[in-house]
Amino acid sequence: MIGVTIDGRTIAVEEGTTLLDAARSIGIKIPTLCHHDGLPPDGNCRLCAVEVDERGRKKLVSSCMYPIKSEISADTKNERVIAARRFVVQLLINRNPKAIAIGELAKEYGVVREERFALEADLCVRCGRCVRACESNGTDAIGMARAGFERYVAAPYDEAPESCVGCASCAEVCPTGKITYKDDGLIRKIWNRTFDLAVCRRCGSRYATKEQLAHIGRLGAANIAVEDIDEPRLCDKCRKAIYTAKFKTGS
Amino acid sequence: MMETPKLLSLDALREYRRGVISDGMDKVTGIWVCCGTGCLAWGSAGVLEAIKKHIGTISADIAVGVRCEAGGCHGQCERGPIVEITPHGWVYHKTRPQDAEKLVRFALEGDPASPTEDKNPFTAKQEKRVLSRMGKMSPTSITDYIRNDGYEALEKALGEMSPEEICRAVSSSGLRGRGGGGFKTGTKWEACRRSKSGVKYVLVNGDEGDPGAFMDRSLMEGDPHSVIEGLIIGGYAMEASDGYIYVRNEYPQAIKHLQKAIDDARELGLLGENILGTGFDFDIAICRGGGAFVCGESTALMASIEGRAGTPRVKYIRSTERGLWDKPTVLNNVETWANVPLIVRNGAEWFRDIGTEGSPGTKIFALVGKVENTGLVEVPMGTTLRRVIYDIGGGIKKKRSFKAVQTGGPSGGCLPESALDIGIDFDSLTAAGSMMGSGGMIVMDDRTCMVDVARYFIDFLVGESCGKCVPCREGVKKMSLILNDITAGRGVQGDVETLGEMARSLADTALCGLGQSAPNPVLSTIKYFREEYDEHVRDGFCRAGVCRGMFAAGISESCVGCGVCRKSCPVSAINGEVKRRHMVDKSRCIGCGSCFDLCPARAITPERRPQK
Amino acid sequence: MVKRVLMVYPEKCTGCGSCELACSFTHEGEFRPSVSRIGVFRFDEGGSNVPMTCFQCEEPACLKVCKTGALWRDEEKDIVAFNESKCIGCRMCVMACPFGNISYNRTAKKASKCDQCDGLPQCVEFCPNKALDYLPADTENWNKKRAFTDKMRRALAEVK
Repeated sequence: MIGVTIDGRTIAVEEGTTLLDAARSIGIKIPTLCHHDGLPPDGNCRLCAVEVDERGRKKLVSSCMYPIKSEISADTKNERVIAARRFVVQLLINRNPKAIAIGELAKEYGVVREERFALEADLCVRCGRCVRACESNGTDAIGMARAGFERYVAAPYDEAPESCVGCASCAEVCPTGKITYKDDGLIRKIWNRTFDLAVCRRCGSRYATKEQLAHIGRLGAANIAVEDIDEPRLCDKCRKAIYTAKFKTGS
Repeated sequence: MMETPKLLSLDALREYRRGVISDGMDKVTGIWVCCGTGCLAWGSAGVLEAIKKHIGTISADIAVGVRCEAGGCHGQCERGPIVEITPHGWVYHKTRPQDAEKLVRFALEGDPASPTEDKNPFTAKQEKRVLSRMGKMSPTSITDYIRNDGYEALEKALGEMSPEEICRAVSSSGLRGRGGGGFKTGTKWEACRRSKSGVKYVLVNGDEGDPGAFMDRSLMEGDPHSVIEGLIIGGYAMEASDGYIYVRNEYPQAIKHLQKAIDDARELGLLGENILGTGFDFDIAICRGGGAFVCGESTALMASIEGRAGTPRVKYIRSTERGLWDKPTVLNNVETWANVPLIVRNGAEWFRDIGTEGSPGTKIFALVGKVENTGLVEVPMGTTLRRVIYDIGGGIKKKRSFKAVQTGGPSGGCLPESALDIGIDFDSLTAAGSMMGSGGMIVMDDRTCMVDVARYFIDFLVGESCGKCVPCREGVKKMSLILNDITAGRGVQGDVETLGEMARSLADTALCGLGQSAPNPVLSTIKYFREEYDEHVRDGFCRAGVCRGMFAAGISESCVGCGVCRKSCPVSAINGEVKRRHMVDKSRCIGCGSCFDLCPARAITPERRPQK
Repeated sequence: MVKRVLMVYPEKCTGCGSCELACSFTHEGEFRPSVSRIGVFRFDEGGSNVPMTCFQCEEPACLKVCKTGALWRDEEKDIVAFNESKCIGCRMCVMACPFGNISYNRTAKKASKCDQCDGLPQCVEFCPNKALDYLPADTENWNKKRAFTDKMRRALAEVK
């Protein structure tokens, strides 16, 4: 265990704990945008910046990725830290004025959109959570395209991505609601692709895309056989209801 | 030519070297036609062919052999095609195919003019150590390299030194990374040495991305074995078994020559398993980059080698602990690696005897811009900017006056005349608000607008930012918008202050070195040329006559009345009779600047526009 | 910590739904059976009811498909633990669970499953008829639970 002092409070943490986790464990709130507990950290939004003092050397670090390896102290809300966050939030609100999460940050840090630098408004903050979620799922359907100011989230060649299974995790982890999907009748539309939804043979609910069921089958879920993915199946709720009934009659 | 044997021991290498030296080729007069990228563009391939052809027609008559081959870069590319005749050391500039007969005659019968390098002010005041072999041998011949002391350092390292001793030698030489940061190479090596891992990597950063810099390209093209020898020694010192040379794909000749050198070294037994019977296994592969500026950043470069998009990673764990494929890795720039054999062969003391206390050795600069002589300049660290620009560079072109010198590439800074007596080393440049970078040096004269320079570099970085982190992606773009406003006459009060604040925040928050150093051109031009910014914002005036519409032409008394300006003016704002002083109707002048450089008497200068 | 198992006795269940209310209130702060992690199946004929919640399988299918580490086996507590903050809402666990015992919360965009209230299951606390119990995982109780889940599995095999 290593002693670390955050905003004057000293705690002991395991070596390698990130500064963000250490701060959270004692109730210190640090704003994040690109961070997601379930995804590998990327440190691209720079919002979680804090100042660490490594034996007298002070520097700004991304707390979501900074591993505690020695006794250090950190300041999560001094002038330098707040200035850095304000700078980042200012840039974000200029580009993403309609993103609710950014609006809230702007309010918190007291910045308003600068009309002079307001280029086309966009919901995407390029945090890459969607891309990392897709990577985690093993589907790798989307990535970052182009560079610099023109960077954006895209499927390869902007075409309908072959490896997408329509799970919509990308939409679920998007902090600003830029990525959306639509279930319309028997189909789901996402990333320029149309997926057939599996229909529960009992209640008729459309509970998942067939591609996702196949993907889950491939990952090793025993109840889903990849080869008969088109067979009429039961949704999770009906499966439960029916076997529970069987269980009851069998008792 | 001798058969290429596979050398199985250090003794075999010594024996082979003796054979190479005594083969008599050093007595043969060599005609080396530079076939570096610059000279090729000048048409050196035609010169080479003409000389070879001519030798072919007369060969029956000559008793003493003449050897004519493609050589490496001399660094003075603007004077190409360059031909050197060895062993005399005579160098000929701007040669043409029709000079073939003359050059061969000089080679055979001598040249009374004896144009040696010490008669050329550009080369005479240089201290060529890393560049010493360039242009005097064939870059694609391993025997030529061995004839010129090549692989002596490897022989010494494997035969007489332990890995620890090599690391210690590099450390005590004080060698610092020639690629940018100036981190102590020895410290890096020793950290990597200490890292416990079965697999380690040594990498060469040949992704030279700075506009105007080409020392690494020239080295890889003209003396590829020196880089490879350094890398093998590094691999031995750090107990790494694999080396990668990351070269941008825009450098096809560098790739070709390096590949040839690697193949030749492997064939000779200097790469591969059990090198020279010492039990040391090491091999090298070339990795071609896509030409993104950011791929010169260490973590982005490694990501690129790993086959992922070249974007930097947040780095709180050093590469010497976890680098390429999460294994301990040392990445050094081309020039740094090329210094390694010199240090091993001659010792740390020899290396330290020139240069400054904090930055020993020499540094190669790419001197470009508004100077008379441009090209590669190798001088001891600590040499003043003035000496490089005036004594070697021959001063400002067309006798104009010096305004600034930009060092360190696009993320370096611009230094004013008052900084000319700074001895150039890593620390002094940083202290002055610029940096060493990879050694780019762009000289600017009074016709350069410093705000426009800042705009140019920031726009370059807008184009080269990978876009991963918010500060660089959005911040550099915002700075570019402000600078474009100022240079278009739309600047508003407070813009310069905003730029200054943004620059400091950006340096504090950006993810990688590219973003952190991106504000340097802005900060340094504000620091040294604040007046020019204020003139742009407050008065709408560009004193250099660069920013369109922000000045009017003014004609001084030295006008000779030739009328060239009158004829070239697109809006007919210039009037005057022949041989009489011309006048500009400033209310009509649109400030396009097209008349300035046409005036033979240099009588036209930018003046303030009349107040509306 | 003594390992415990959550026992279900369908024969004692009256279908009152106290467990669902206790669960939804504890986890979601409101009395809403639809977001409860335990569900009671009520069968008209014979007045019998079956409360159903996660069996905390030893080799869970949900865990196999979770790629973010949001689900894991907590051997100390002997449960399939779930870290909501790591969930990316892909719903693969929902589809993979053969028993349908993980559900998806549309509002939170996250999966939701029984966590046995960190050792103090509220459904057990509020069950008026002891149809649910939380007992030390001794051999006897363990075998009982095993028997119950085996029976479930047999019933499931007929469903597909």
